[in-house]
Amino acid sequence: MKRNILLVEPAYKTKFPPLGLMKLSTYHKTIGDSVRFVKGWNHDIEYTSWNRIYITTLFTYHWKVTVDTIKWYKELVKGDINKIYIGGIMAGLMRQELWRATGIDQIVKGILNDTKLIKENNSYIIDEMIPDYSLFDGTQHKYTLLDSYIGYSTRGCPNRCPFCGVHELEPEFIDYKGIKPLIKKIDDSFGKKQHLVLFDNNILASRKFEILISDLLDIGFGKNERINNKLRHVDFNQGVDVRLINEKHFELLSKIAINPLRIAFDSIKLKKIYEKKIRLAARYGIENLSNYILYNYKDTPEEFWQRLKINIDLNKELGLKIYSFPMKYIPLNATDRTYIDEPFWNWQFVRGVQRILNVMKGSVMPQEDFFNRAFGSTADEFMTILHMPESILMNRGREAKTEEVDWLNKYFGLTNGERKELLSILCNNRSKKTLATAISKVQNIKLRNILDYYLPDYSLPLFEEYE
Amino acid sequence: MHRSSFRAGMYLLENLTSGMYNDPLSIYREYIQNSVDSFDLSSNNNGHYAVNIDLDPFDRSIRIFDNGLGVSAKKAEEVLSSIGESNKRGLHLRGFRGIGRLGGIAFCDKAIFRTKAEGESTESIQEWDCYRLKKALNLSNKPRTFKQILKNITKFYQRNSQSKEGSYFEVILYDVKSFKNYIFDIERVRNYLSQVAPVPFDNNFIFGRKIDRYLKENLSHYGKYSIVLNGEHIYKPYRSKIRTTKNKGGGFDHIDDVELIAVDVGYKSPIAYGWYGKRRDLLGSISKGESCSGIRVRAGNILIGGPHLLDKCFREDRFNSYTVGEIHIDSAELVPNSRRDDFIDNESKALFYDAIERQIGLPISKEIRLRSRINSDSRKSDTKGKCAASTHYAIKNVPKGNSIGIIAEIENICRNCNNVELIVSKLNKCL
Repeated sequence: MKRNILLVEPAYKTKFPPLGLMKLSTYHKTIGDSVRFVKGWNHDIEYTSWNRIYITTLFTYHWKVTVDTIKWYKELVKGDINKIYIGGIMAGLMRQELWRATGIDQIVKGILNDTKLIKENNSYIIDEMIPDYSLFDGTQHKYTLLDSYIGYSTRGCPNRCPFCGVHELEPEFIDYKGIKPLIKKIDDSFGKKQHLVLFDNNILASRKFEILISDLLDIGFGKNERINNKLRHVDFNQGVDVRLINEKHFELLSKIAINPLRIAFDSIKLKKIYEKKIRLAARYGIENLSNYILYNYKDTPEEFWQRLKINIDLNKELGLKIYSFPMKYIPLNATDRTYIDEPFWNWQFVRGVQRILNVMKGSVMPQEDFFNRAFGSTADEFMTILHMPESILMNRGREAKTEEVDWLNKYFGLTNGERKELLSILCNNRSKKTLATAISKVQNIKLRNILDYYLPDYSLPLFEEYE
Repeated sequence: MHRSSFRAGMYLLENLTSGMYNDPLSIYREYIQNSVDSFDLSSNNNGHYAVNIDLDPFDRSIRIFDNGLGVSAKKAEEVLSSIGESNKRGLHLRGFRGIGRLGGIAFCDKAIFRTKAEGESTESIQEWDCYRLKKALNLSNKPRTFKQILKNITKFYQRNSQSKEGSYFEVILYDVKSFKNYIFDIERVRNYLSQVAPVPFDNNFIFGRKIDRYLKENLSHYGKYSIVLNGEHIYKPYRSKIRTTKNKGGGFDHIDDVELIAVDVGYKSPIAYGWYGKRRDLLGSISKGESCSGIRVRAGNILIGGPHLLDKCFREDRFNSYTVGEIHIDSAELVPNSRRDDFIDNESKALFYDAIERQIGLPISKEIRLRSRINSDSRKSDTKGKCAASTHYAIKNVPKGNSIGIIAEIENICRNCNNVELIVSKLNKCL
């Protein structure tokens, strides 16, 4: 009997399409079911009797929106929790917590490689099915990557890093999964795709890396290959491990249409090895690099700045385009994004970095002058910028305006002790209201004068209230 | 003397297990009932008693453990093997039919009862092969007696315990399944226990202490127990601020005080004691999601029936959902039926429902209607006031003699008001 299947992605912001749901769509369509996709929830779907609802999950800090979504669908099926299946990253990492919050116990952890996991009795391996690119037709939500082949050429990771959930979700490391049949099937069903995005977690740990590259060459992703008169790109989206990459890897990578090559630079301790590997990349003509920079994790703000600066210097020296993507560390089981790695980081500093990145749309441009203005030309300048009030920090032009100059004068007039006190007041009073109260109690006139910059428009609501 | 020809067949067991409960969650109530009875019987009142319920949906198992009296090694086989026999009758305890223990049998493939008494070093265990039982009941073309089937599917044994200290009774159910999987929906179970189990009031409910004091002074026994679900203590769902259906989006009302009541049916002493919340606005019923609406009946502090048991005692059924409250039975004449969804039929039952209608249902219904009328009148007068103000404004602000201008202005100000046509027609006559 044809069943009504609803696939749901909670309404958190995301660019990438939910790959798991796309594969489930293919599976259910293959066995003759009717499938519909919804982002979040809407009232259109209330008048269909759903046989099954699959809800995907992503990051643990999407906790609230995810739990609210699951509860909404639980209400929709009148509490029949047999109809709801939950999967995805958060579900795998926080299975117990999610069950305790929602009551749903059909939570699939890890890879969907056996249909028994979703109480089906057949031999399909859903994880190996092609994604259904037509799933989002007619929906309002726009995803990127739909013009790309999306998949995996390996699974899992042999490492067990404490900050990473891969070993929990994909405990078995499979170091080669032939990608050619998948590409062929996608071509047959949806036509040729422009690019290739691989979500391998640690591609360099594969002992069959050479075969893998050869596969990519066979399917038309050699360097400078084009279709539709446009260059094709290969993106190992999860990045490569700077410690593992060697000359042989670069030689192989230089043969394919790699763009960008994503390399992580997680700690200043890796400086030497990182610089060496970037120089190797340059030697093999890999110019477009994207660099994940983990911060707020066992580092200091100064070290964070140094890592960004190293990229700027390497760009200049080697003529590369390394885009740095600072990534704030959030613990694996955190249900929001408020984690601060004290004592080196604090609320004001973490917020400061986020505000700079907001202005720069998330990435750090390769140009030196731009970097110097945004992050400072020295680590000390960076620390000064992190102390700035938000209104000044976010509205800096190429040259410092009067307000910034005034603030800087006042800031440089503070002793080290006063700067510490300033920071303490800012970090302990995060709302305008409590900050205003705290400022009213400050006796030190220098501190009071500089603190006024942090509440530039605070009197306005009072005035409006009076009106 | 000839032997009786009465025989108990195996399907009697079906009646006492799968045939007994509509709601699979009832099994939690049955086991809690046995546990708290055992707490009441225990002489060691200084002890910290608790019922720990642990659900493991991923292993499909449920464990219910209490540190009550337990059963002594000497009596264990007899107690665990007796069905429909209980030595609790007449002791003001909650269970007395000797069948509650069978509740879980219908929902699992294997059940284990494990118990030990204080000071003993022997643990007694009874295992039930519920899968075989279900198979026998479904497929057997050769009906067997009650006794034969029990012999085939149960196993009793004893073993040395690690310590003489401590007493307990533990129920473990394996491979548990239920309709719509309600039994593992921890959100539902939490909600169910908070409404049904004999748990304390939450500290946030400011009238909890006042009610506790009143019930303790008047009921012959009033017990509140620590019930812990997967590590989380359970409390009754009452709060002083409650969500109502008054506005479309859902409004709030407050419980400003509680009325303490004694339910009098003309016997020597009241048949029950209780309380109900006095709402500030009393407009709209209490939202279903609050899990506390309706005056509910409890015996031994365990819920009888659901939130709607007393609906018929109100002028309109729905009025029961306008309030919160509890009636605690304090009479041996009012006996809960086996499902605990009402009382067994007798004269006291009829007198009880009449008394509730007289003492609570009708006075509250009257108050609801009165408040509703006052609210409706004040809305009407508000509308009248607004219309008068708009008319006054229009006449004052449009040049004298410009009657068309005045009417246009009123039509503009009052375009969303139902009275606009009436006002305009009246003004047309005047101007």
